[in-house]
Amino acid sequence: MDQHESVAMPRRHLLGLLGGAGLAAFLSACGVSTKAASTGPKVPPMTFPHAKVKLPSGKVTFRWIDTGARKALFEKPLFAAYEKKHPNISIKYDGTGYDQVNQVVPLGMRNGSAPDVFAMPSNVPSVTAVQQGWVQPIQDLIPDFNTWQKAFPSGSFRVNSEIFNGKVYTFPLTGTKQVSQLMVYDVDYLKDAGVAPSDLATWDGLRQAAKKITRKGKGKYYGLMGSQSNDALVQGLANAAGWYTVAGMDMKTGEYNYHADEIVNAVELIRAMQSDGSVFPDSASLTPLDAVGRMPSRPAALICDGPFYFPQWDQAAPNWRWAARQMPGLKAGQQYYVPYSSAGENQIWVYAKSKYASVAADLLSYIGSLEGQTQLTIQTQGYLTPIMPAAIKKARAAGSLAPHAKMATEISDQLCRLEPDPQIRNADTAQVLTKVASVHPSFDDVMQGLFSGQLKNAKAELQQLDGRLNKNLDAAITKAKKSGAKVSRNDYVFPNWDPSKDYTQADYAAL
Amino acid sequence: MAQSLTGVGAAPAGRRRGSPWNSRIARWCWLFALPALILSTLFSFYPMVMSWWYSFLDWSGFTAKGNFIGLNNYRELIHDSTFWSAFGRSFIFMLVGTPIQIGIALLFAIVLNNQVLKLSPFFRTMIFLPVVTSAAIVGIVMTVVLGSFQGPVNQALLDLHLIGTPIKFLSSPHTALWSVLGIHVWKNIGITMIYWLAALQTVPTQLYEAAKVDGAAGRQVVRHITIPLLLPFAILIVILTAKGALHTFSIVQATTGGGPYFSTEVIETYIYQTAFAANDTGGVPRLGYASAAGCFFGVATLLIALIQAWAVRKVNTIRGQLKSEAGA
Amino acid sequence: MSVTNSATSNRSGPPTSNAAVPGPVRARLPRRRRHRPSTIIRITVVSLVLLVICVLWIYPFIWMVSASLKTNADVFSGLNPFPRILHLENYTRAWNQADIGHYFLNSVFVAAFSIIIAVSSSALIGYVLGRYQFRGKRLLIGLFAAAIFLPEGYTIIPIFGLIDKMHLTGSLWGVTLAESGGVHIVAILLFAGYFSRLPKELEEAGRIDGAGFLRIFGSIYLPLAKPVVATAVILQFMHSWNDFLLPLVLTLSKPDLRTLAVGIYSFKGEYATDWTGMAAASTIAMVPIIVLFLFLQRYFVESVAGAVKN
Repeated sequence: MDQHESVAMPRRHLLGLLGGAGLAAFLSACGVSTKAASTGPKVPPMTFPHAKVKLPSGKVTFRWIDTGARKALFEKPLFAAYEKKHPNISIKYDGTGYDQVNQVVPLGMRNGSAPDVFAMPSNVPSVTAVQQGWVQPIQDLIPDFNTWQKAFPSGSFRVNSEIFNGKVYTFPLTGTKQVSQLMVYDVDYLKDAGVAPSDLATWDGLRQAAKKITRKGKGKYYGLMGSQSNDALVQGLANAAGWYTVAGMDMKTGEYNYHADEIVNAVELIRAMQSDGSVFPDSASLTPLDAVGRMPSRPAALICDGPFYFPQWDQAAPNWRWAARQMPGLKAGQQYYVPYSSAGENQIWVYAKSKYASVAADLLSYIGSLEGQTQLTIQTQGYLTPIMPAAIKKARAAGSLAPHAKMATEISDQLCRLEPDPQIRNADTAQVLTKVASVHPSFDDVMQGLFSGQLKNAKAELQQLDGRLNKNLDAAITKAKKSGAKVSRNDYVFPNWDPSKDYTQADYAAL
Repeated sequence: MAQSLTGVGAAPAGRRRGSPWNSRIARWCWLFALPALILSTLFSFYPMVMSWWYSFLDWSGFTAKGNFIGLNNYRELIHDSTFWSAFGRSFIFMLVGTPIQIGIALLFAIVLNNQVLKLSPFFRTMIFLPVVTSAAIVGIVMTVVLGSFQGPVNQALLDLHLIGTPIKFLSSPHTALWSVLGIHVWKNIGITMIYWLAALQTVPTQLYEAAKVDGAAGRQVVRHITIPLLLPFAILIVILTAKGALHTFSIVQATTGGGPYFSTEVIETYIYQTAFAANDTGGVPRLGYASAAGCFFGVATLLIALIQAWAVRKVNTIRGQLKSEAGA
Repeated sequence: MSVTNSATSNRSGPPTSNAAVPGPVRARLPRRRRHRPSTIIRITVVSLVLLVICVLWIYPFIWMVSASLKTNADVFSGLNPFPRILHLENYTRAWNQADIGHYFLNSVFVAAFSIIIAVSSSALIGYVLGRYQFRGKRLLIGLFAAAIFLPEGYTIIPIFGLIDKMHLTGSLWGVTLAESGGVHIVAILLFAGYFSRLPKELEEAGRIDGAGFLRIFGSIYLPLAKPVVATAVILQFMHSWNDFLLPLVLTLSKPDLRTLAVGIYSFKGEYATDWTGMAAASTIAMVPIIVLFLFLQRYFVESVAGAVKN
């Protein structure tokens, strides 16, 4: 009897435990839903064109790993269409963020089991990957390569970024003409507090608006959503106030300029807003991603973010009414500029030991065609910026951009200007990239310290940060020189840079 | 340490009758030890030796080979103040977290070992649940629970008038480390409780019966019977729990990511940052340097553990002497 | 010989011998008679206190289950864990996107065999380390004790290379082996510590009965070590069930062989802000561990005292 009971016991508790939480929820719930509230973006189905290369005829599992997010919006339907076209080929897609790509891809490359196509780990310089023989040139894979390549805008293929030893190894999937700091606001909260979106045009307007909204929110919601380091917010505010740099470097002087007054003042502004009590109180324990993820439950009216997670917001909270505008500046109506690179991003690499290089060729030649690029825009509803400007036009003509994507694209078109690029000037600077040591503490760390009160003097701390960055770059240049690269710090100085204009070939020539 | 660990003293000693049995025993012993020895050699000792080797290299971890640079990584390490702060915090985790975790777990184990308590299987499962809840989830929930925006803990403290303004448990540099420590202890008590439960089974129940007949109160039973019998096992549990306190990567990463401004950075997050993460300014990972940090820290903890074990052994010897004197 | 009741016979059916029935079972009858009103009150009070503690204790777990039934817009709104509408679609989404149906059996394979390998090898070595004197024993103990403190470092690169040399990459056996080699030092020390606490009279009785080394271990001591076996099984199960990086890189060339944790991790990475899907996926992954715990936990309280008397 005892034996029997001791067996029955766990079962009862199992039911109790697993059922308990669920049952209580069931009893208190008014209904059950098994269908997603929003069915996702309504996009036209994709079809894949006939292959121009000879494909394997047997059963094939083709492996593709990259960082997912918005790319998945395009790649998933793309692969589905491809599998439909070629039923013998199945594509195993992993879109899992850099954390995983950084750990998995290098290990796979070391022992010969890397996926057929992958995104380069963010901590592996592509020069190194080529030197180690991990990747193969797409030049020899893609049919009718020269015609294919001509469709890309100039500047898409750079020596030591896409071209190595005279061969093209990769191409950028997307363009970078995209503002990554926008002021996102909750339409209804603004209205309730009597704030007009145009009030957000200036720093002071932002502060007053956040105050008003917080007062109206009465502890249920707040004015501004921050994060651990507020780094995007600080840089966005500084940029709108006239701080022009490429990754912190003032290209006119070739020196890091995080200690600029615009940055320091932006830090002060946010500190002031914190003491106003109009910043979401738990901001300091949220990563940027956590902060973005909280927004659909509407704990704050304003957040600074790029369009990276807009599609997920659209999907998570289709009824939440929000809009985006450019960052607040010092004076209302003052135009500012956002430097962007002619080089695209999201390069795609083909593994040197891939058994199915022809499949890669087939897929890549489509993705890099105007049709593929147009589909990229349509399938992502404009959330991904194609490398070919013509593709945006076609997609726009088809009327397939999501409203929020349209907002972001319009602002980007208005603000973005081509930046000077040391690598176009001197391809050897790519060698420097492989030698730069990361800085500790970084900009992000310093911001955390300033906002948590562990660091007091913003100007001094940022000055030290710039010192560390400059020192590391100099050290890397010295190392690169030793290994044969012809580089100098002068390659980073562009005295004729005017941030309000595109930096063109003529400007490079005039140097 | 070896002795106290496995209670060699308690092992059967009277084995000197026939040497055939003895040599047979030795053969059996090695045969029994073999599978585990092979597994550990391959998957624990060999990788460990390799990470020692890496610590002498200037190596990113992905190129085919690194450059041998001797002790340079160690030289750099001992001048790295970030490393030393992380080192210190890991020790706080171990020295403060371990006794709390062991104490509370023992309490739970003693109560839930009681057969009279009909619901104890249910309670045991509840206590164990945080162990299996993923760190990522715990991280999200804790920012809500310990938050000042509708956070229940702050709400309760405010309602009881214990505090005037909400405490920023995870975002203030003064409280973040202690909050993370608390979360770690809470999450892992279930494991330590299981260790204790196993240990408690070696305490003969007849002793309890006898004590009850004598009319000894429950607390006295625990004090005079349970604890002395548990002591040898306790040393092992201390070691295992202390080891757990050094493996806090996922929980720290999920709750604070080492912030604000390094105030919760422990050895494991420090190593991760240097070995894998490329920060916003780019930069090549340094697996060699990260390995040096790991090895250095490992040796330091081992040394401290040895000193501790030596001290415990001393105490045990003295106790043994006292006991035999009392017996005589 | 009354104590030579093997572990298997104990598990498969009611034990034939009274002596091997552990203490609590026998002790229950007299105790039940002795329950006085004061005892009942005390037990009720203790239970109530524990209940309150436990509800607070598992709040994050409740939060997770409730989040898995909400929409992403509602996850962070309010503290009420009970949603008005149960959104079961989170589960179908998690199930499909993480390929759970597909990977489940792989996980079961890896978990089952790695438990067999790790737990049995730890029990064997733990037994001899805990109970016998032999040449080289101190060295072994020192080695394992040191290993627990020395850093594991970047084990993944050497382990990966090793499995590769054994030509086991892209095979579930490779994953199983790598997972078995992981945590078992903890189990070894637990076994050694536990076996050393068991009374030696049992062995002497066994030898008088003519039992050899193997039988004394298999029929007398191992069945008494159920609390540690259960602990080791749970530790190993959690390890192999949750580990994702090693199984992922070892099956890179054959994605079909991935384990559940890999599928769930990919899902989390790809939909970084899909809290509800993540909660649903985590809940699904937790269920087997909880079930195992519930079934094993009666062995945690199987006292060895009953056997000692005989």
